[in-house]
Amino acid sequence: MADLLSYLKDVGKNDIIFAYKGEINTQLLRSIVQSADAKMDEFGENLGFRKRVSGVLIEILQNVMRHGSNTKIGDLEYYPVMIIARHNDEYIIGTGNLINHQEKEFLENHINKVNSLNSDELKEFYQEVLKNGAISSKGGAGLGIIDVARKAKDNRVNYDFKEINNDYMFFSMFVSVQKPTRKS
Amino acid sequence: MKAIYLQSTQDTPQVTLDIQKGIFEIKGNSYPENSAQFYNPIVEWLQELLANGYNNKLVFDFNFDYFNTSSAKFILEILRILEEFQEKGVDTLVRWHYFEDDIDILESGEDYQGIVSIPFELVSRDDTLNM
Repeated sequence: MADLLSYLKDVGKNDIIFAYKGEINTQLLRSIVQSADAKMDEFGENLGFRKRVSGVLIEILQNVMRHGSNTKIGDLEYYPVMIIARHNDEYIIGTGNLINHQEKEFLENHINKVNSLNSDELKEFYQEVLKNGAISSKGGAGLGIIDVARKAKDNRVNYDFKEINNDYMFFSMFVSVQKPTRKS
Repeated sequence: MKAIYLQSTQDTPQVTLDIQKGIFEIKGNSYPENSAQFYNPIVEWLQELLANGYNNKLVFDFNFDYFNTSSAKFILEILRILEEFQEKGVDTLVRWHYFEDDIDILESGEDYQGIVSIPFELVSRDDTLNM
């Protein structure tokens, strides 16, 4: 599975819109959304595209907020990280945060399932999860990843796990968001 | 029943639920961290209205700029209640507004249209909005 760093190797420093390491809270989320939107406006992106990128950003960051509460292992701190970059008319949104093995199992199964579906199948899966309620105990992160995949390039959510110790690992994911096109 | 008027914030929509004026509307952005806390009073208000035997025409306007997936579940819950009004014989209509360039909001309206069985109009608008 592609990791964020190798994907970003062609991205110049001027393409980076926002990069952050530290705890993510609602206040910060709001200001990131505002400044990313202002930046996309500067680039002349239309409203529909800006809202799509902001939407993906919100889903991903709220996911990190739900799962990224642990930061400390012994003396080491593993804060959440995030990056937004613009490259070849796409917006790349990447995050990383600490998770435990139980969360890994859920995420890995769920993302693999999502990545195996095409856009019509994702639409069906989205409706199914929406109708049948939460599939995760932490506030329905399941629907969020499906939504992100529906808006991502190739409907693909890239992810990577790096083992830290027996209990914890660092989970990173990124998607590339493209301009919406009407499918039907 | 007492009307509900909520001002919009950056991450919560403007809500108007007013029987006297016949306005039922949710408008703006919806991505609060705690969607249940925001939407439960709205859901409860509608359930009470249903229980009270409301029988005038009910036109519900969803006018979203953006909503997150945890809000999506509550939007469905509201639509399910509107379905019950319809089943009780109340003349019910959902108007789902979307900005003309906003395919995502249009398609999410179509998603809901496919899930619930109530008269459901997709209404295009052409103003400009802010995140």
